[in-house]
Amino acid sequence: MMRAWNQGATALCLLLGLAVTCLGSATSLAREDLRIDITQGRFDPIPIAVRPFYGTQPDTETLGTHVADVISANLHRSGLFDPIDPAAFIGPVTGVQVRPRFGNWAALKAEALVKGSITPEPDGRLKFEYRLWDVARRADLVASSFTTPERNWRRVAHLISDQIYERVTGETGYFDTRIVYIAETGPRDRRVKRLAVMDQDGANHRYLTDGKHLVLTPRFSPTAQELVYLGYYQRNRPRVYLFNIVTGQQAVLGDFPGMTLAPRFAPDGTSVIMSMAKDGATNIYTLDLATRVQRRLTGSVSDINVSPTYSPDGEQVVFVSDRTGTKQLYVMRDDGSNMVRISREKGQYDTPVWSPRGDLIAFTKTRPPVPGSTDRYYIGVMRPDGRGERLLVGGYLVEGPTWSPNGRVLLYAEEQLERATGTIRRVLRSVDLTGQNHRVVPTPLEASDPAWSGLLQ
Amino acid sequence: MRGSLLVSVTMHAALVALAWFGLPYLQPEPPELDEVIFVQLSDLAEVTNLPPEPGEAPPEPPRPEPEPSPPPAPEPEPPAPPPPAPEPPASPAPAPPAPEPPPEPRVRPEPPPAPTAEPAPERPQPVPPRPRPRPKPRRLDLESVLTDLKREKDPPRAEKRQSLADVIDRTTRLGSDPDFDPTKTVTQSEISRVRQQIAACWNIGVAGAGVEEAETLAVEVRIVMNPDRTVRDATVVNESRMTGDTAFRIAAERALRAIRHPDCRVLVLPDDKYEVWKTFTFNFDPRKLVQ
Repeated sequence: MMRAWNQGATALCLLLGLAVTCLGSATSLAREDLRIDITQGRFDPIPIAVRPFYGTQPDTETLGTHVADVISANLHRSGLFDPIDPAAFIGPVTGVQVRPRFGNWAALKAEALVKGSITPEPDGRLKFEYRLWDVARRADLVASSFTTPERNWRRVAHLISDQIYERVTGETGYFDTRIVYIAETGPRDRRVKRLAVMDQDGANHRYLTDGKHLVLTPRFSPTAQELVYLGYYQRNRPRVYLFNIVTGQQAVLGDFPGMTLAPRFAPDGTSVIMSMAKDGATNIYTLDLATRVQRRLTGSVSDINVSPTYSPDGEQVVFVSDRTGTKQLYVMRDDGSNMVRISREKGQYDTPVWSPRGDLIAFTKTRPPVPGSTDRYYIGVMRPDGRGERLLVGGYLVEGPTWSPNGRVLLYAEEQLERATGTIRRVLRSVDLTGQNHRVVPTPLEASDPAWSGLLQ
Repeated sequence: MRGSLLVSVTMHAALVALAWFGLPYLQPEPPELDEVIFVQLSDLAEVTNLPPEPGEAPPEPPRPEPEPSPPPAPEPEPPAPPPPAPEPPASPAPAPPAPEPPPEPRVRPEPPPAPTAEPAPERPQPVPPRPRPRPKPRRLDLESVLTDLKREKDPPRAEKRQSLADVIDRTTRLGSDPDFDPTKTVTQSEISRVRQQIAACWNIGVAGAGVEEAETLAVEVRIVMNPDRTVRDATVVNESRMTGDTAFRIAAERALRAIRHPDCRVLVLPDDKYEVWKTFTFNFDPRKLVQ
């Protein structure tokens, strides 16, 4: 009897346990959190509203509009932002301290909002303050202020643009930079070429040389305060010159027995790398700026090795060589060892430039036109090992790419042929790495051979 | 006797052997097993509600729903007060002469303002019943800006406590909620509608142009909903990663921006299943898009 009772009790417990377990499982399954995977989205520029900066006086009010215009133009040119037309803005301009009415900005589909103020300081300088707001989240993203003489207002606008760009995209900006290039005028057989420098948006343009002598291939130093370029001040005797943009002084870098070509600074600014033609061969040399000691990196006796550029870490050099019969890209260590050809596809390559990020090498490529196109020249990028070649832009003549300091935009020279008149015009253009955002960089004259500085310091 | 027995056994054995080998139907055939097919059960709504092809207009909701409240109408701000007069210098003594500017102007950002001096940032301007003068913009100094940033970045403690209380409440009520009906589930078509809605609000930015890693990072966002289908709280899972990982922060902010987008303010969720969707997780995964 006792045994039967025990068996019954055990069976009952088992049943109860099973029931409880099942119930718990069912409940937990039903309670399992809903999870929704979002795998589709939009790839659109970010709508941003840049309000005129609030000025406490009539002149600062006008200046506030100019600052906002420069910021909007910078962000628009990047292709990553879509500034909203100020005509759509609602309500009067208010200072940076006044919290925005986010509903108004959301109605305009703005995802980001920039507000700022300009306040005169007792010492005559101006204080520029701004704040970037995330409209949807109603949260501020970044705020900063700059106190400087009024004449620097454009630089302040560029600095603010850089901070906005960096905060929203995660990439370093490139607006507080300069471009040096060769300004060209006159007929083709008597071309006048001058060194010219300007802000990246074309403002503050000025000529550095008078055009009496031929100048070529200007390149910035890492500090963006000096240039190195090739000058023909003595006929048939091109020399490498150093030019200080701040002081306007220049000096011959060295008196070399052969012809020197395409000088560029090393990333640390202590040396220059260039090509020198001597005894029937063109090889790559480095020149220490302090000691003026030369060092040869390539040892060809008949080949042409030109257009050397350092990697950002200074440990490798990419250059062009015709040792296989056509111009191809090669990479070697900074002491000339471990030379490897990296260009593999059909065509000839020239003017390689290593990205400041180190992930890509930009180049000019020539190849016969493909069916349906008349393009012979291309600007492209490839990885340092030669893989992943992509041609970003083609044309009648495009050449000489130079990187923005964040390694996302390329500037290059284009020769445009107007078929109706048969005239040729040289302009500067830019394209980003997506290959979609093409812009013309405004210059007063025809332009070629651009070089983009790093961020100003 | 023995001989008969042997003959009988032998004959029987022979008969059994003959029957065994001669009659094949006696051998049991191995049963043919059906191939196991694994299926996933999906909940379907009573009315088919498939998502349209890209480019088509979104389908009408299967049942009348309350209209999402329109975005706040642009409200004219009260008339601006006359620009404040420049503040007098702190000291009556004349200001010292400004130092000579360097030959090449250098502009450097000043350090962020200190976090303590100024009071809290001005509150959002309430919609006034009649125009009234706007508060005079305060002078912004370094300290005030930092104060603002600090206060605006950190949600009030009360809100944090509220969120935590919600979670605790939700957890403790598990299994005892009288409104909970475990048979109600959100159907695939209902999930698809929400997915489409959020996808339209999720701006990943121009492909290949932002920080590269942000396009390969999935971000999970924990959502707490209000019964009126608006988002009460959205918290990035692994939120601490946002402080040290720029790419993750950018990706997370894009996800949060999508959730707070005006077009996604009211999610297209079924009203009668609030208990099922009052908390859920969005997983923003751009990897397939980038590929």
